[in-house]
Parts: sequence; C-alpha cells; structure tokens
Amino acid sequence: MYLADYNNPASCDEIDWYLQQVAPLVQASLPGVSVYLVGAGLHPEFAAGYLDVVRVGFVPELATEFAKHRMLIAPVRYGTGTKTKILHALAHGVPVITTSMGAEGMGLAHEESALIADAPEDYARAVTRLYSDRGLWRSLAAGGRAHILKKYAHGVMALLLREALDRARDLRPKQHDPEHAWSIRLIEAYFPEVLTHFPPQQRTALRLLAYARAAEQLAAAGNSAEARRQLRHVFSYVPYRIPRETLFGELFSIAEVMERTYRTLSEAEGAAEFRREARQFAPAAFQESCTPLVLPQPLPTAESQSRDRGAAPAKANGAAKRNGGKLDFSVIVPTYNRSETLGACLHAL
Amino acid sequence: MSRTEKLPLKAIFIAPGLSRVKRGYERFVLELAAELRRAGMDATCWGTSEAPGVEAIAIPGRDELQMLAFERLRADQRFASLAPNVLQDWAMYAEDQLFAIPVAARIADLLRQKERLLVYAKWQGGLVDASGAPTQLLKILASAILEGKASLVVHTDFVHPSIDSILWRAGATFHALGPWISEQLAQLGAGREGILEFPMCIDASAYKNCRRLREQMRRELSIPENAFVILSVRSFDTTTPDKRHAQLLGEISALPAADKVWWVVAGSRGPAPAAWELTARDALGSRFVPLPNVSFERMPGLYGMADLFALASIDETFGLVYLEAQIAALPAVIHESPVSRYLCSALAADIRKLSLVDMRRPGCAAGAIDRWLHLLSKRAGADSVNLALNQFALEQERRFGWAIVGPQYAAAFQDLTKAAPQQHTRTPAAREFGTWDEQTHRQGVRLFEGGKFREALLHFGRALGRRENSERWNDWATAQMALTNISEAEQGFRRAMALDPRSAQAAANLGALLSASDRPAEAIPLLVQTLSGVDAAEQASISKLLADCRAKQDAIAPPTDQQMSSYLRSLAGLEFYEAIRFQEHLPYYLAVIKSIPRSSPGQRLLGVGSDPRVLASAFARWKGYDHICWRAENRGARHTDGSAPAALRLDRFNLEQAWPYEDCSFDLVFIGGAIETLSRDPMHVIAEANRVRKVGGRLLLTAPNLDGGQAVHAILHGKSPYVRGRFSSDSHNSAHSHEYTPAEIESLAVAGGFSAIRIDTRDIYWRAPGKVSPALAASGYPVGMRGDTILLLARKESPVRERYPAKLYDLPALPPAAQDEIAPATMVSTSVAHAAKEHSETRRPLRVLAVHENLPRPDQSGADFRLLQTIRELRAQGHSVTYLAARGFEEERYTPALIELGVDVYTNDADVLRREGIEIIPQWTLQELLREGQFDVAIFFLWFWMSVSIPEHHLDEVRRLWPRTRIIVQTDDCHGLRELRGANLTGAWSDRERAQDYREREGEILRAADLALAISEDDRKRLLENSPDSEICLLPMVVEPGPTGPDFGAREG
Repeated sequence: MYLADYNNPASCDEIDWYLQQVAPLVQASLPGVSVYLVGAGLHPEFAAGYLDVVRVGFVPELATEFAKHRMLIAPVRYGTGTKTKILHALAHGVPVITTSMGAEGMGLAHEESALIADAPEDYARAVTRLYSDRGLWRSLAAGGRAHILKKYAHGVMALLLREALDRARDLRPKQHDPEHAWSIRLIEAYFPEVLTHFPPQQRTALRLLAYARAAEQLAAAGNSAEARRQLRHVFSYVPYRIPRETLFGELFSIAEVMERTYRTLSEAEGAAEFRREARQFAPAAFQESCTPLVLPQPLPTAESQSRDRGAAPAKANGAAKRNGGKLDFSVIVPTYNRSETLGACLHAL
Repeated sequence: MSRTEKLPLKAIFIAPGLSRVKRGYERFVLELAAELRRAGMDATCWGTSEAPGVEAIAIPGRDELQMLAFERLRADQRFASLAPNVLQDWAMYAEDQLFAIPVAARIADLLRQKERLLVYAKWQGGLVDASGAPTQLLKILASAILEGKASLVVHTDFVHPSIDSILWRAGATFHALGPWISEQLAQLGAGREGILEFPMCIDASAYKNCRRLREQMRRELSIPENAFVILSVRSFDTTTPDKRHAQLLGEISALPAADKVWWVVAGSRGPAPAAWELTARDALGSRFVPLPNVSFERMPGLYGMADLFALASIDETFGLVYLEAQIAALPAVIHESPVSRYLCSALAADIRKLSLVDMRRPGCAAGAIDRWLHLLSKRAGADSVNLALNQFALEQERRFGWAIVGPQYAAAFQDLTKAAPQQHTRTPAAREFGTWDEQTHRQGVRLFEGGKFREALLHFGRALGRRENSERWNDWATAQMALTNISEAEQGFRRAMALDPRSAQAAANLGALLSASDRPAEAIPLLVQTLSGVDAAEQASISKLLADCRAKQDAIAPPTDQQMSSYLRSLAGLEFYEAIRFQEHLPYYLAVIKSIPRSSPGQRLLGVGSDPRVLASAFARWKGYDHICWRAENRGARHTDGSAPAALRLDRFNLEQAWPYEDCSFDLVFIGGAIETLSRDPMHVIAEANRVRKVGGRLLLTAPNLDGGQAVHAILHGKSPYVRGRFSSDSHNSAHSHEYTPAEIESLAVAGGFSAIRIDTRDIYWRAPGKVSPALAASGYPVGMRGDTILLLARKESPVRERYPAKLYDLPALPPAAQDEIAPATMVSTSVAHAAKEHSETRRPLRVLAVHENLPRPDQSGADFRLLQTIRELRAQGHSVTYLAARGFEEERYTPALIELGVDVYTNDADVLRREGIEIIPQWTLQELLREGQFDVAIFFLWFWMSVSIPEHHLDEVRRLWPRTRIIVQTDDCHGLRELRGANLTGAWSDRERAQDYREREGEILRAADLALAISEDDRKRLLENSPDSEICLLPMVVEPGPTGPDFGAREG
C-alpha cells in the first residue's frame, strides 16, 4: 500500500521512483503482487501504463484500508519533519518500508520498528522479504506499533508542552527593534502599491514585479546581497502558487527584469540557469529574436523618493535603442494630485 | 419589412467593458447588435478597446481612476458595512464616467450629421455620474429625444429608484428583463409605454444538441462514462463568499453517494484561488475538475457531458447560465428567486420543486442533488424526466432563443423610433419617484427580497437616519432577523411599536420573535393584538403561534403589573424619602420580579442589594421562595418594621470579603445595585456567588448599562456616561465605581463559571432621546442592548473559570526568572531557570495567543491534525487560548471545534488578506486583541503558504505593542532543508532559489523569536544549524493506537 496526497510533488516524486526503479525488481521476485495507491488527489492519468497498480484513491477512513494490506511503502526522497502516514500505519500495526530520509525524526530502527533501504535494489529486497517472511512481518508490526505508541503517547507531548511553556515563562522577551525590517516586506516600503493596488487580485503579480524591481535597483545601488534576497523572494511563489509556465510565459516581463539583474550582479551562471529553466517552461522565452518587453517604471512615492535620495535615477534609454532610435514617450497623469510625484515624473521624462 | 432593407436608424450600444467579453451583459449586447444587423439595422458597439464586433474608444488612466474611486468609497463610513467586492463593482463605474466623455462628443457629432439614433446602454455606462446627477451624455440624448432625433433604451436588470427617476425624466425607455423589473418600475411611477419588457436571450442552437458531445468531452477530461457529473459555472471570478463555492462543495461532500460524484467547475476567468482548489481537491480528490479560462465556445460541450447543473449563487440578476443548462435539457439545482421562478415557469411543477432550493439553508442543495441522483439512477424515472426536460428545453428555446426573439427585438426597437416624443408628459412633478429616503427604503425592500440582507439593512438604516417611522423600523428589524441578530431585531420591533402601537406587522413579528425565544408570556399579548389586524392567511399561523405560547406558559397566571404595584406599594414606608425612592424604583422592582424564576418547594435564595423588604416579600409572594437570606447594608435597619416575610434573614457582611455561607447552599442568587459600586475586585463577588450556589442554580444580576442610549447620548454631548450613581452629599447612596456594558457583564458571568440564559436591557429610569436609535442604525451601529439597566439571568455550569479575566483586569506580566541578572532569553541556563521555577509562586495558567494562516482543519492534513492537538493540550493544561486565523473564508465549519474547547476565535485578518489580494472591512485589529488579551505567550505557526508568513507579519508588531509577550514559533518542518532536498533531485534553479529563500527567512524568524518548537529531535538539530543561538524545544505529535486488523496471511499487497 502506498498512501499520499497526490497533489504534493514530493509524493509524486517518490511513487514515480518506486514504480520506475523498484517495482520491476519486485515483480521479478514476486510476480502478480500489486501496489495499491491510496489517498486524495489521484488523477486518472497518474501512474497510467503501469501493470500491477491498483488505484484506490481517497478513502474516508484509513483503518479499513490498513487492514487489507501487508505493508506500507514510504520511499521518501525528500522532506523533513514527521511523516504522518508512517505514524498512522505503524499505529495500525502495518509494517513500513521507508528510506533513511523517511525514517528521520521518528527514531525508527532498521529491522526493529521498520525496514529502511535507500538504493532501488535494497528497497526491492526489503519488499520481497517483508512480503514473504511471516516472522519478520509479525516482529515489525509489533515492534513498530510499540515504538510509535510509546514515543508519541499523549503523556509525552503533554509533558514536553508543559516544559516548553515553563521555559517560556522563565524567559525575558527580546526587545522590539524599531530598525528591524523583514526582507520579504521591504518592498512594501519601496512600492506601497503592492498593498493598495486595485483590483486587489492583481497584487500578487505586482508583488513579484516589485521584488524584481527592488532587486534591480538594489543591485544598481551596489547592495548585492539584498538584491539576491529580493530575487529569491519571487521563487517563494513558484511553483506552488504561480506555475513556472506562468512566470516565464504570462509574466515574462518579470522574468526579464530578473535575468537582467542576475547579469548586473555578475552572476553569469545564475542568469544562464535562469534562462535555461525559462526556455524549458516557455520555449519562446529569451530567444535571441525575441524583442524584450518594456516595463513601466513603478511610480516613486514620496517615501521611497526620500529613501532613495542620492541614488542615481533609473534611466529609460533602452527603449530608444530598441525602437530604431525613436523615443517612446509616456504621459503620466498624477491621479492623486501629488506635487512631489508630478515633479519626479517630469524629472524622469 | 424585409430583412435586407436598410433602415434609416443607427443603433449604438454603449458598453465600456465590451473588450472584456466575459460577462453575460457584454455577450448579450454583442449578440443583440448582431441580431439587429441581421434585421437590416446599422448597429455598432462602442467599447473601451478592440474586440470582434467592437469599435474601440480608449480611456487613458482607467485603472488609476478605479483605484481612486475604490479608495474613496472605502474611506466613506456610510458604506462601511458593504463588502469590498460591492465597492469594487461600484468603483468600476468610475471608468464609465470617463468613457462617457468621448462618447458624448461622438453622439453629438452623429446628431449634427442628422443621423437618427437609437442608443442602448446601462445607466452605469456614463449616463449618470457618481453623485447621481445626469452627465453631459445624458443631457445631449435628452435633448435629442425631445426633438425626436434619438431614442435611449436603458438595460435594466435592477431598479435604482433615484437613478431611474432621472432616466425617466430624460425620456429613456427601460428595457426590463422580466416582469419583476417591470412591476417595480411601474410601482415607481414609470408608465407602461416607457417599458420594453424582453428577456435576455441566447443562441439556443449551440446548446440544444450538446448531449452528443458527452462522450468526447468526458474522454477529454478523463471522466469515466458512468460517473455522475455536476457542472457549476462562473465560479472563478471572485474570492469573496458571494459565489458560495464552499457552500456547494460542502453540500456535494455531504452527499451519501459523494464518492460517485464528479464536480466540474468551469470559469471564464483565471484559476481558482489555490486554497479553495486545494480544499476541493482534498474533499473530492481527482473527482474535482476545475476548468479556468473556458471560452464560451467550449461551454456547450461541458453542458453536454454533465448530468446535473448546480449553482449556489443567490445573486443572479438574470441567469443566462441557467438558460444554457435548461436548453441543454440538463437537470438543475439553483437558488429560488424571482428570476429563477420566472425562468422555470414553464417547467413541470414536480421538477421545478426539485430544481429550486433555498441555497442559504445548509443541506437544501445536498437534499435536492441527492433526490436527482436517486431519480436519474432509475431507468423509468430518468426517461420520464428526460422527456420533460427536453420539452422544457424546446419551450425555453421559443421563449429565450435569438432565432425567435431576435426579430421581436428588432421590431420593437423600430417601433420606438416611430413613436412620438414623450418628453412633454414626463415632467418631474408628475414622475417624481419619491423623496430620497423613501427611495432608499424601497431600495432596501427590493434588496431584502433579493436575499441581500446586509445591503438591505444599510438602506433601511440610511432611511431611518433621515426620518424614522414604524414601517422603517419594522423592515430594519426584519432584516436583522434574517441576519439572526435577534437582540437587534427585538429592539427594532419595539421601536416600531413605540412609534405606532397599532402596527399589526410589528406586533406579529415581535410576537413571533419572543415566542421563538421561549418568552411566551411576553409574546401572548402581542399575538392577541395582531390577530385582528392581519389577513386570513396570516391569522392561521398567528393562531398556531398563540396556541403554542399558551401551552408553554406557566400554569399559574403571572400577576399583572398593576397587581404587583399595589402589593409593593403596600410595603413601602410612608416617610417622604422612602415614598420618593419607591416611586423611582418601582419599574425596576417589577422588572426584577418578572425575571426571577419561580421556586420549587424548599429552594433557597440569597439577595445581595438594596430593598430587601420590598423585593424579598415579592419573591416570597409571587415566586414561592420561603428561605431567603439577604445581605443587609448598614442602613438596612430601616427595613425592620415587620412587613418583611417570616422566611427572610438579614445578614451583615462585607461583599468584598468571604461570604458567611456554606458552599452550594442557595438555588438562586440575586445581585442588584451592587456590582457597580465595587471598587477593587468585582470577580470576587461573582466567585462567591458561584461558590454558595448549587450546580445548575441561577444567578440574576442587574447593573446600570454604560452602553445604554442615555449614556451614549450623554457622551456624544461631552457629558459623563455615568448618568446614575453620582456622589451623594449625605452619603446615602454609594457612588458607582465602575459601570459595565452588557458584553462585560456576560463575560464576567462566563468567567465566573456561569452561562447566560438570557441577557437583556430595559429603559427603566430614563428613556433614551429619540434621536439616538435612528442615528445609530443609520451609521450601522447596534441599537439593541441600549436600555439603561442590564438584567442577566445565568445558570451555574462549573467552578470559576477565570478569576481575573483579561478583558476586565489589568494583569501583571509574567516575571522572567532571575530578571535582574539575565538579559537575553538565550542566556538563561537551565539550572537558573529551574531554581527560579522552584522559587516562583504558583504557576498560574497562561494567556496564549495562537496565530495560524488557517483554522485547524484536522480532516484535511496531518499538520492541521497536529495543530488541533496543540490547541487542545493548551486548553487541557488550563491555559486560556485566543486563536487568530489569518483567513477563515469558507472554513466556518471548523470554528465550532475550537469554540467547544473554550477558545476565543478571530478570523479574517484584513491586514494579512490584503497582501493576498483580498480586501475586507476590518472587524478587529491586532492592537485591540493584544490590549484585551494581555497575552503572556504568542505562538506563531510557521508556514510559507502566504505571501508573508505569520511571524513575518506579526512578530514585530506584538513586540512593539505588547512587549511582555513571549514569542514562540512552532514549525513542523525545516522548510529550507525540505525544499533543498527537493531541489537536489530536480536540479531546477527556481527550486534551489526557493530553498535558499526559505532557509534565510526561517533563520531570520527563529532568531527573532524567544523560543521555537520543533516536531522532532532531528528537526530541532537542523534548525539549530540554521540559527545556532536560538532556543528550540521539542514538541512531538500524539499518535492514537488504531485497530491492528488481521494477521499476515489475510492481507494482500
């Protein structure tokens, strides 16, 4: 039995690995034994084409499913924390075969509370052994369950929580530092529009653009370290909230600023890697024949102006070169009647 | 007239948003223009940018203008109770004002060229400006109409009296989409000659044979042939609750046969909000199929492959999507409204009953879908239903298909141009639609009928603010009832009756409300009064209510006010001062006596407060108490003339010290005129009241209301709200030390181990000035609980829960161990801490603030399961917990689990949500929570699912606003390491960068916290590698043993 949320990329990775590299070896020694895929998000096309795979999908309660199967495979290839599915299986007396990474954090001991194997051959051997060896199965079922129920008993958690809160009581809270600013929120001071832009649904895209713009301007001002951090913040959205295809396709204008900034930061390798990935997900991205899009400069606010005072104003001379020597003009209408903004706009023109 | 003949008429369709052909109106306009062209007319569409069939008129600065308008509307207190999406819609009209300028110029130019024009528009299309005044465009058209050179047809899917009044006077013809619109316009005074009633139409040919696409489309979407597919549409264009995605998801998940059901949600805009999509996927797995960016051309295929159409929206102005489903002969489950009733009028009655449900009521949709599932699973049933639906589809095609109705439109538009100019008959005096407040009130009524209760309430309130009358209060209270604000509703009905004591409607409503609130004695006279003033149909239901109330009423008839007053007067002393005092307090005595529950034989009562002789005698006589102890005040000697009941015993004791009674010795404690005089520790009185009372016994507590209408009126005029209990020159009265609001009194009682049976306020001493309630209602503030005296009846449930509730007591901060010697948290050694612990006083429970991105959803993920475990354990160890979920939209079903644990829950953090692209009106602020909660500890749960994590949001603010709070960050993962391990497998640049981003932010957060909690020892070590100076404790999960199942041989793979 394999249990997962199939919307989780880590789960897809591990079952792919198992089906491609381990399952053929298991089939050789245990022909006709099936893998049961259990859990939410099992798309119809997932694992299509594999023989001896039974697609169960979401089940409202797990006890019935655990009772049917001889083992839980958990070939975890990346992750940290505690793997809840392993805990649940062991608590139901179902032996588990996992990897060193899967066993992390739970104190599982090989051959005592679980079987642990990393290489495909070792993993396949473990599956074959456990499937065929009644004595080993009983020993692991009992050992795993006893280990988990002891380690994860309610009393343990209650005691540790009490100790942690006692510890907190004894601490003197750290003092507020008015100078502290979270890197992820710097752009809210640079570009307040990210909090107020209308319609609000566009704020995520605007935020990504703001990170890229902040990185560009910080790089130009010589603050390479913070510029790199701002660039990285874009990827905190990708791919979980913004698909890569979207970043390199619909939001290519942002990707373009980022690529340029990598080069400004003299990160040739980073820029090349970035381009390679962009082309992978949006084949038209960064082609030599592709005319780069022209991004509008975000309007500086009075606050950002005073902060950036002394920094060189952004130059918009690229457009003239791209347009065969003809200048592009922007007409800026100060909708808030801000005289400082108007002054800055006219100065930029 | 033949179709090929060119008519000397130019039709211009004004629709600013026409480039974004996404909404029904825009599509309708394009199709109508095409129909008119087919009929030989010269029809042109003017939009904001290029699109097929659209002539573009560009608008510079469109987005900026919308933003400005939105900000203005949001800052306007009058609209504070409106949802942001409503304000956004209004702000969109700002674009239309700009659009109207070049349009007006073009229209004027065409008129100069002697073109005969027919202009079709929505009023928002630049005819009326934001202040409600006619624009230049409308003025040009009005002149042209007057001269017979132009006609103006206004698309009317909703009636706005003030605006329609202007349009009417300008000579416009209303295109009413159905009889419900025509009737409203006629009621407003619009003549039938000015109303063109035609439905919106669709191209039926695309839908009527779409069933043949079933197999192909199912293959394309990988949906099994035997699956039961529910289709919903228009579901991705907003994240606000209006479209009610979660409602329908919950209903589908609740189906007995949910595992057979697939749910396809097709939206014309971008992807669904990720959180919602994840929720749906978790609930339905691969059987949830979201389809964003679906073109209109693809829709017939989707209808073709579906088995049922379902839409939870309660807010469709016409419902073209209903029509599409109907012409596709698809069974449907939709909200019952005037629109859907109209569209389903030709549907067989039994099928209509299955199709139209009240989507606001949980379980209705699930019930209807289940019945459809059942019906369609039987061959005979399915055949007869399909036959009926096919017949209905043909009928709908006849009523709403362009092929039939299109030529009728063309003919009607042509007739308009032949009609004589009507402007002369439309004088303002003849066609005045009413005063501003009348229009506003009527608008509220329509909104109410359309199920928009909050918006209706706003309109009723605004009308009341201008002028109050019984009808308006009755409607305002009815809207409050619909929103289940019972106390507000009661006050509103009472105000309606005060203004018109003969109002049968208000009496009936108030009677029904009191009956439902289990207050039969109060309901009966109102219901009796109602009987003669309502029609026969209502009489039957009132009679039934009356019978129910009489059955519930005490067997012994309660004494009347007059009987009680006479008796009480006989007890009062004759001395001048006493007589005056008696007269002043008589209404209070009556209210208290009525609120005291009747005694069973042998029950004991303790009275704390003044006037033992009067009240104790009344309690003995009218409520049957024969063992009464009463705390005697020093001046109590005056009540010893022998008229007190024999069962009364007076005891002298200090309220703020231990009371001289055994535990659990009374069935009822009455505290009146006492708690507001206490200067140090009011909870001591509540705690003692708890101690001396039996479990299940009652508490009746009365106190002046600091939030009463009189107090509000006083404070608004710069006077003290302490309108009672002033200092006394002869030391006869005790000055009030602290007055309370009803909410404070209730929270005192709850902290004291009681639960409120009823909390109420009465105007006993003064009547609040009449202006107060309408002014409050107009501004959206509550009007209930504004009487000058609070009466709380509560039941003892437990020992004292919280001796010093943070909302009432300024509590000392937790002293850190060895505070003077040790500065930074990380330098406290275990031995020092231990020694400090040894010497500390009793470890009192902590006040904990827990902050997470969501409410705990234990059925959704292991992480949420653990989250709930943590909260549960905090409560089990006696700590008070306030839980703050940054978002709670569509997750309301998870709140009760926390409330049952005794957790205070706050959801929807406006400051967090605006970063996620969701604007809401703030209901609370972090500053308020911190001040009220005085938290010892804040636990921030660390995830990176939102733009800015919870610690990055709140940590600095908590440090700044409430420096005494210890900040703990709980993390169930090493987020940076997890992502790095994934990146090592994929080799992707973006994955590596994200891993590094998480790692850096994780380190920054751990360094800023006072303490962190890791889920495993391995995680703890790795987190320390990232932030070596941090203090990190271990907090594992709890695993419950499950059934072990059969032995080895009985298991498969």
